[in-house]
Amino acid sequence: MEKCITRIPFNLDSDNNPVQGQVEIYTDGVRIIAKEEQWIPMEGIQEFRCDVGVGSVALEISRKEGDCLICRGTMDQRTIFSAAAKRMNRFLDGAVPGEDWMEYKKAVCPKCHRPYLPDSEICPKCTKKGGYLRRLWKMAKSSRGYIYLSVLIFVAVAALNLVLPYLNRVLVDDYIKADRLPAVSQYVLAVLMILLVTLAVRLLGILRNFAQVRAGTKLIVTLRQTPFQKIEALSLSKVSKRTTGELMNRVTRDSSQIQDFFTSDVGGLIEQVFTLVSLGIILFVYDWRLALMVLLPAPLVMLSHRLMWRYLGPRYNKQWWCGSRLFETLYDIFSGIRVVKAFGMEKKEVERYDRVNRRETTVRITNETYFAVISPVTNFLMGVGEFFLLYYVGNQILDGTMTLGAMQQFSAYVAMIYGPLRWLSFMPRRLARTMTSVVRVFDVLDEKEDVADRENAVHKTIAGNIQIENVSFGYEDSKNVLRKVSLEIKPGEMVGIVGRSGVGKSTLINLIMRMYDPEEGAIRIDGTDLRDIAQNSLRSQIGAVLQETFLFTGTLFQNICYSKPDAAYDEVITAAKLAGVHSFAVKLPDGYNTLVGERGHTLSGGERQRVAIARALLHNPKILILDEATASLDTETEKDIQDALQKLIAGRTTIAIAHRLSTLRNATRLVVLDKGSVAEVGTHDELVARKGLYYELVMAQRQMSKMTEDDIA
Amino acid sequence: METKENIQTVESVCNLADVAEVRYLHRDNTEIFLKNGFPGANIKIRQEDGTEKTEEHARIWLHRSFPFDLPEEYISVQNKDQEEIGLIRSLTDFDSASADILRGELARKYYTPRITKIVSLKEAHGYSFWNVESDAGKLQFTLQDTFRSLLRVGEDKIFVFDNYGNRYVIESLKDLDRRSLRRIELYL
Repeated sequence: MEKCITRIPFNLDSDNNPVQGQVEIYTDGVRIIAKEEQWIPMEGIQEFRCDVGVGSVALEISRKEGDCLICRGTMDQRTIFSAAAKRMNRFLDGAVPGEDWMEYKKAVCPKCHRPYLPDSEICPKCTKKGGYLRRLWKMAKSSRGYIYLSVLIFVAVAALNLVLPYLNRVLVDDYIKADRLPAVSQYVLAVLMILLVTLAVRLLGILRNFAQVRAGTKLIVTLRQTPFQKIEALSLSKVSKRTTGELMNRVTRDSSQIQDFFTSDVGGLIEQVFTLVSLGIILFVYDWRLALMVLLPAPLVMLSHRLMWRYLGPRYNKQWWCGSRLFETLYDIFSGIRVVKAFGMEKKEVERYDRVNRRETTVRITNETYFAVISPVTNFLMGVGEFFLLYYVGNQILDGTMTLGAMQQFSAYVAMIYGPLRWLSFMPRRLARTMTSVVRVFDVLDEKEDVADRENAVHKTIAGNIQIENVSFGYEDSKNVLRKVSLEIKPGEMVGIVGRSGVGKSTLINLIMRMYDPEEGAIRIDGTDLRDIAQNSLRSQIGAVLQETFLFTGTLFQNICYSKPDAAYDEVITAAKLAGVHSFAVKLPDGYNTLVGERGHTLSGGERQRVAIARALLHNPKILILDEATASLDTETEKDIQDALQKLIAGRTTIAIAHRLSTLRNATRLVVLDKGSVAEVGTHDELVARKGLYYELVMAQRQMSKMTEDDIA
Repeated sequence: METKENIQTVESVCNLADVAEVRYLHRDNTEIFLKNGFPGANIKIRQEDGTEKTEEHARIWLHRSFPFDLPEEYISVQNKDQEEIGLIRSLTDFDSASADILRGELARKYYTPRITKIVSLKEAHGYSFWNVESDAGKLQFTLQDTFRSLLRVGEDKIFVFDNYGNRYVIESLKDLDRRSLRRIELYL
């Protein structure tokens, strides 16, 4: 038996029956172990493939005599199958199996078998929360003083609130109900005391708000900044696997959730616990029977409250969802109003809106009814303690063992004690929601930078020689997009990369820009491995003009300067003039100060590309990358832009991708990619003479343009 | 003049189906077979010169055009590069042996256990955790956004999509027991 390369678990057989099987792949063959065993020799296998169905995935091989199934699984097996296929294809290409090929990243928590949060290895249930809270506390360093202060004030307010009923009692018992008339001055003093305490509570409240705001703003800055910085530092592949919306949520929503928790919930928690404990002590010290009577219904109150929310919570959830559907529908109809009118569908849309609206209303009415019935019941339960108290205290007053003032004081305390209980019954929910946010934020923070700088990464000035050696690379899916690509590009050369869509042209460029690292092989610039060059040093010397140019919200000037913020006006104008921006910029009423981007002046596609070229010119890169830079433009505009590009290309190592082959007429060499490998290299004339792939591409395009010519004729 | 133009428009509307060149496959022009456990097809094609040619596909891939509404109709037959070879209007256009081959392949690709009972359904952290009984035995899965992960088709058929992209189906809400129904009701 040869060496085992990898082991793959699977859970479905070819008749859709659930099974627990395993595939063991050895260097000489594949062993499939389910109810029976099967052996497939390695010889003759051309490719491993992960065939992704709609509810299941399959690992297959192709051989000369046809395809063959190895194993099937449910969709949760997908990452394993595709990783396995990728590893095996690399093996077939001659790579040496790594030690880590045996293991696959698990998608479920080994402890509770629940799936991890998407794209992470964090189980929402089993992660240790204490550790996260401690780390969070560390992050809150700068605002800790204010947090302490607000907690202190919370406690002080709670304490003063406890004093008030006592003062009331003194007022009633010693003065109002006193046997002999008290001195007016003493009476006034008592009233003043009450006034003073009330005032102190209010003043402390103001101070507390101040402390909270201070703590909050300081905290939120850190909380937003840290994940944002981290996201900016992550590689493109890590960032692009999450949606923009999700990333924005992590930076904004999750961090404000945490902020809220720290600034109000932590203080609130301490205040409520303090109130509860001290009230309990006061009551017990005074009369333990009284205290028991008050506290007896407490568990009942908490329970009924929790039950109520367990029942109502999901219903309100549904109401919230119906509400957001209503909003979405409205948004949808308004933004598509031209289509609605064009097809005369106004009536139908009104009906659609009506349906969604009605549904939301129905849910809302049901919920309000539930609430209206349930909440008086729980409120009554909460008040039950007071009835007991009234009976007990009433007896005592009749016996003469308790004064009217004391009764008032205790009534107030009893009323006060249920507040914290209600508050605390919500605490687990709040804590859970915060923990989810905390986990999500730390998930980003803990993400490993996969395209990180090596420790001894150097800053170096690039001459522009690019060596690509045996590079293989694939994204998440099983297929290798690039297979053993080798290519050398000399300084100052312009190389055009052509091929059908999906052959790996953009991937190759992404690797040169080091958006990703190759899995096999290496890319060297002037003899130094890309991974040994500091990324900011590398990027500062590579410029790119892409198919779609993104303009940030800002002025035209700022957008050109993006690559070199400290550029002088003269430099900007020179670049703009060369790129052909100047000619239209000076026609705009606000010139270079014209606001462009999302909410600004709309530039045409050609103008945008010119801005991109100006950006690249100003950047003055040693290596220039043109990825379909003129593809979205009409032929006329393209010709103009080509001239601008020509000025940019002069003297720089340039790598250009273009579908329109005419765009590459100035290239010193053309590289034809096919199925992830270099198929042909040479000048236009050489390749045409060879009558290979390039020739076919040229002919196909010529036919297209001839057809249009014929149409015109 | 005017009438002539009108006629032309009518003609062009009638010709839409021809222009689209949808190639329907049925028992008269297509032979379905099973090879290595995968379906394949031999398709007879009438060429421009009137002669017939047989196109041989050692393996075909099937794709439902309307996976929720019409699981056995309008099946796109594709090659390895996901290019359409032809369209099956209905599986009933084939004899039962061929239809069974196609049905088997569809069942594999669109693996969808039928949920018969919802044992428990808990929501936490924005996820919902399901424990169900199905024709594939007891299953446990997690939905990421419960409301958006349920799709109601027709009156009482529910499709459930879990966070991995697995699909489950409740064929009829009416057939669920009361407890199961109450558990899922809040999300419909």
